[in-house]
Amino acid sequence: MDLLFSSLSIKRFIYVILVAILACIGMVYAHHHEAYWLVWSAFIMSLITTGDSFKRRVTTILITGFAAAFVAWLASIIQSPLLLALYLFVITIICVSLAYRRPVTFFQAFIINLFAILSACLHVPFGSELARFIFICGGVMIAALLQMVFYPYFIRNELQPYLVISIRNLKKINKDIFTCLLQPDYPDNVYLYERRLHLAKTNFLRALQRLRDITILAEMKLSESEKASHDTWLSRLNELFENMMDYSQLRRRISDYSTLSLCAEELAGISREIGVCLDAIIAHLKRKKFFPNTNKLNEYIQALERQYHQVLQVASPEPLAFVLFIDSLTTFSKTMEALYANAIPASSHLS
Amino acid sequence: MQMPFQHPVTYRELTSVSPLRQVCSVAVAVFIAFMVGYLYSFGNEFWIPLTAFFVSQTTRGTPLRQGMTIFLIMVCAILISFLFILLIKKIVIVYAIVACIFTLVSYLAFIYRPQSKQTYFMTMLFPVTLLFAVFSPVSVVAVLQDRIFDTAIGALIGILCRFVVLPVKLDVAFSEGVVPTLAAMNEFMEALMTKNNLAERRLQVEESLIDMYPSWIYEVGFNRGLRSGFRFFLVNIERVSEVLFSMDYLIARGMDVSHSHELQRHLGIVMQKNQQLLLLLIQYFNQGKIGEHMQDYTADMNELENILRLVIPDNMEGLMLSPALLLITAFVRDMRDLRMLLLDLVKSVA
Repeated sequence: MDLLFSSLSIKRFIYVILVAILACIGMVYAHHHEAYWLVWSAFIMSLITTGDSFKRRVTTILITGFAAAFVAWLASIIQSPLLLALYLFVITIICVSLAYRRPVTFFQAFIINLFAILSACLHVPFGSELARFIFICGGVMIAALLQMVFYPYFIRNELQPYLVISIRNLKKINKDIFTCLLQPDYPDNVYLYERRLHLAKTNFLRALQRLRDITILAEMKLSESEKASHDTWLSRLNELFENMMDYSQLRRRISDYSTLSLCAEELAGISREIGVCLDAIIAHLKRKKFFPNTNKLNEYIQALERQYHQVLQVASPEPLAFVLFIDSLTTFSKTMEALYANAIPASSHLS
Repeated sequence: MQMPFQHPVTYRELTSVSPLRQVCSVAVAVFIAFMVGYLYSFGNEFWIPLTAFFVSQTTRGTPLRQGMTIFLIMVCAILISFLFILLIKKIVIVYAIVACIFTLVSYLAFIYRPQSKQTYFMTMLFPVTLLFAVFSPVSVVAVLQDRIFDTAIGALIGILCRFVVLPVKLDVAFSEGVVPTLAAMNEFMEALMTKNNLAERRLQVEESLIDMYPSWIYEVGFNRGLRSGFRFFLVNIERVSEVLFSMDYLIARGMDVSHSHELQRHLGIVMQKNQQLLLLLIQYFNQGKIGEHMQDYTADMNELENILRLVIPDNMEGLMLSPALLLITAFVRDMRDLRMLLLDLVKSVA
């Protein structure tokens, strides 16, 4: 729910509502037996969110829409059922191949294929083929023109939520790593916990990939300071992720999981405090009041270190694994401090 | 030892795998569904080919389970559209309600982005079916039963085609997903040693984990007989990637062994052997058999650790006080972990 009230989400809500209203009004007032195509195409085209710039987004919608209208029109003029079946066969081969070869085009290819199938099955009265084409194009135009809602600050609006999503996913990765360390049944249910971690990692990498794409595109339009700021964010996010991968090695390096129960309180505290630190960054990005502080995290890391010196280095068969774990956590804390100091201007801490 | 491949295939060459089987399966399903719909449809609408097309969009892991889920979601949408039209007499209000549902679901799908294409498809399936059912030229009240029958026929055709028309061979599909990931890791390992194109190679690994990695093995309901074997590979290969990310992180933190020529040389030897193990795995997944690998994979690692012991302090306290040595120790430990993981994988297929 972090992003429910971000400017992009509000714009998106306004956009889908406007598309729905205009398409329904258009259909009701058109009074034509083919008018339902207007609603279908407007609604479906409004789902397209690919395109890292405003121009690319609109172009994608228009190309997909006109291609869908064209294949639907062709399907409506073919009379022979066998020919029509062959036509659908060919269209499906083209669209599915495209979707497999270039996964980014999956949704667009799916829409074109869908419209071909629908149009082939719904018989059109003689002379109304063009009306079907026009109504589909009308829906496409509604979806494309209303994209104007997103035009102001398009890239800025896209960047901010993806930063938030990436950090939110980092939080999830951290939580899943510490769950592996804290849950006594982890060794018995490795696949269950590893699957959760896999999903969290994939979501983070997907968000980072999108963020990277937008940042590269944005660089052409941003000032030098803004470019530097975005590059810093990207490298810091990478760093935090790899740092997490580094300290997650503990779960594999220890042979006796019962030793983890000796420092369960410290581990739980560290996990919680890392979440709090990441929350502070999310709050900054959302321009909310926040208090960046790694003191508590450092306290828990020191407590773990004490526990290591007092108990773990004797009790654990792999003391080196704990030394490396503590070192990795300390670096994480320092990275967070550097992030607070550099990426977040001091004046904005309490904004 | 001879390298398994004189010219190992690169990650970029492996990502363009032909999806012939999947394409044929979907196309034949649509073809058959259209012909069946034309000849035997109950409602004379689009539901048979539409359902067959939707049901064909399942992943490789659990086509039957997912196909049934898609069918049930579609039937639910058809029933709800029927209830709307039956209970609410004014069609304009029904249009408004369906538009609201569509708007709300598409908005929620947007909030929880980025999603995999499969998750997005399943999220939007209900509102899209509702849209087609309500904004249709035929009144749903008159053809409810026919629509449900047509949907069932379409689902049957879609599921049967997934199993009969060039069905996915799970081992082949798994290999197709794993080999590019292993190839990307191999290139990343090399970059970790040479420091050439390190960022680019890391991105390749990330990309392969998102796009190529066969995550469908994790799906609930996946073939119980094959599950544990496949998952063993999946978990261990992902752990290899974690170790590589950790090594990249240690290098970024300033891990430097340039002062010790001996250590540097042995790190190179160990990494080369790790790459050989990875190439053996690639060979296994490509050809179904593993080549000559009778070699000592422990001596080099022990030698590296012996050299490290000469450099680092005897006790842990001393080590904790020296960040530079701690970084080297962590790197060598990663190297050891990498070796153990790769040996586990090779042993399981040898």
